[in-house]
Amino acid sequence: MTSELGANARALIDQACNEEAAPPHSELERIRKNVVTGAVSSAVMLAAPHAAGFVGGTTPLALVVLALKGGAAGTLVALAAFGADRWFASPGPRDAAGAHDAAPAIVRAAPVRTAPSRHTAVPALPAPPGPEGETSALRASTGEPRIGAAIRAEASSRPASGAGVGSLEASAALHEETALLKRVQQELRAGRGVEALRLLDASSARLERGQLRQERLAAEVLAACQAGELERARRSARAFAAENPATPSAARLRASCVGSEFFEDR
Amino acid sequence: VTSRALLPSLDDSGYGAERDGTVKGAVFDGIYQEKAAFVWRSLRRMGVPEAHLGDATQDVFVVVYRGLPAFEGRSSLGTWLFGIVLRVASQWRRSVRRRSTEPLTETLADEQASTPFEHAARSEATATLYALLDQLSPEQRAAFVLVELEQLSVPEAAEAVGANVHTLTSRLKAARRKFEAGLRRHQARTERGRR
Repeated sequence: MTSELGANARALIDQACNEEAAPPHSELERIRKNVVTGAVSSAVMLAAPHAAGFVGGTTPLALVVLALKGGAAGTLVALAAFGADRWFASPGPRDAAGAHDAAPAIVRAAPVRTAPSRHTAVPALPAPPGPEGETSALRASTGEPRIGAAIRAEASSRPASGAGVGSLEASAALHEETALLKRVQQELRAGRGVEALRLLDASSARLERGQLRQERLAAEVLAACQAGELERARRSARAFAAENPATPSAARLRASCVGSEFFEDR
Repeated sequence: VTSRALLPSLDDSGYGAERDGTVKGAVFDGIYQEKAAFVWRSLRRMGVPEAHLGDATQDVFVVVYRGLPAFEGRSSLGTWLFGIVLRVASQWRRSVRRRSTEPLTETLADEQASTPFEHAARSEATATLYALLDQLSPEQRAAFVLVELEQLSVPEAAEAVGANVHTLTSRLKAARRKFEAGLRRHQARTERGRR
């Protein structure tokens, strides 16, 4: 269809489109890692023995490991144990309006939010271990499609080797880090900055090399501000600014108690 | 200038044919590499504040990653992707409005927040474009972005938003009128400011 816009409008659009900056590469890479890791973690944590029950006499964890170690054949066996026909039978999108409905079955079935946290930009994960996590995992183990897709994603995203064990550990660490950030966020929302700092301190050594350092630093700045520990807030903000000079997350800290010192309007 | 060049290649890419029961990590990586910038830009054009673009982009690709095994290619991947962008953008707009009165720890980012990237992105032309787009309703905005910025045909745009061609045409006409009127007002203000 030929545009019926006037020349001025057309010129503005063309100029604006030409000037629109590309997103920062580092940010896109971070997002990609979060998405892939998050999806893998979901599969692993759903299948964690403490949370899930037994399916057909085989634990979901065993099925995941089987899928990991057995490549395509292992995946098929694992899927068969789960009732793979149900996964494959899920309809695809009929049109673009059904976009969410496509992924869908998987996303809707999740009892917890599947998209990552807005505030911490962490990957989507099920609820941390506990009653709620157990419930959701049990529900999933009864045959909701997302487990099938998650397992397929898990299995197919890895080479057929024994590399799965290290990844399982990494996923568990990421889950712990995500759960920690969730709790810290809750404390911050409740105005308990001291408690939020305590949580961060308690895990700092263990998560020193965690994947969500940026988010933990940001939370630390906010918690220190709330707890009235200005020096600490400055220290954390300085580290954050040095490590993440141009990330949208920096904007989150601009209105903090030390924001004017480290995150000026630019 | 626009992502128009990318869309046709996705239409016939055969990504849907990859649905052999397993998600191919390489397929996701390929889609991500090719479309991440398009998704980012589209979310911005659909009204997601710059401070939230990273998170919103992540939301879109979480859906893509999880939905890929079920994607059967009945619609093109391009329109499927844009449909997800529309829904995520809509959720983000609602979310930002809802949180705008909440404390910092809840909001964490504000719409005016600016990083170097955002600053660079805000040339006068882009700032004007975004401001004019903000005046459109979400439906009009989607139609306008798809046809005028992404340069899709009306039938393609209609498919992307899940509307019929007639409806899409009506929304597009209304959007053009509003956009042109807003631009005239903006130019008049600018002219007065110069005097």
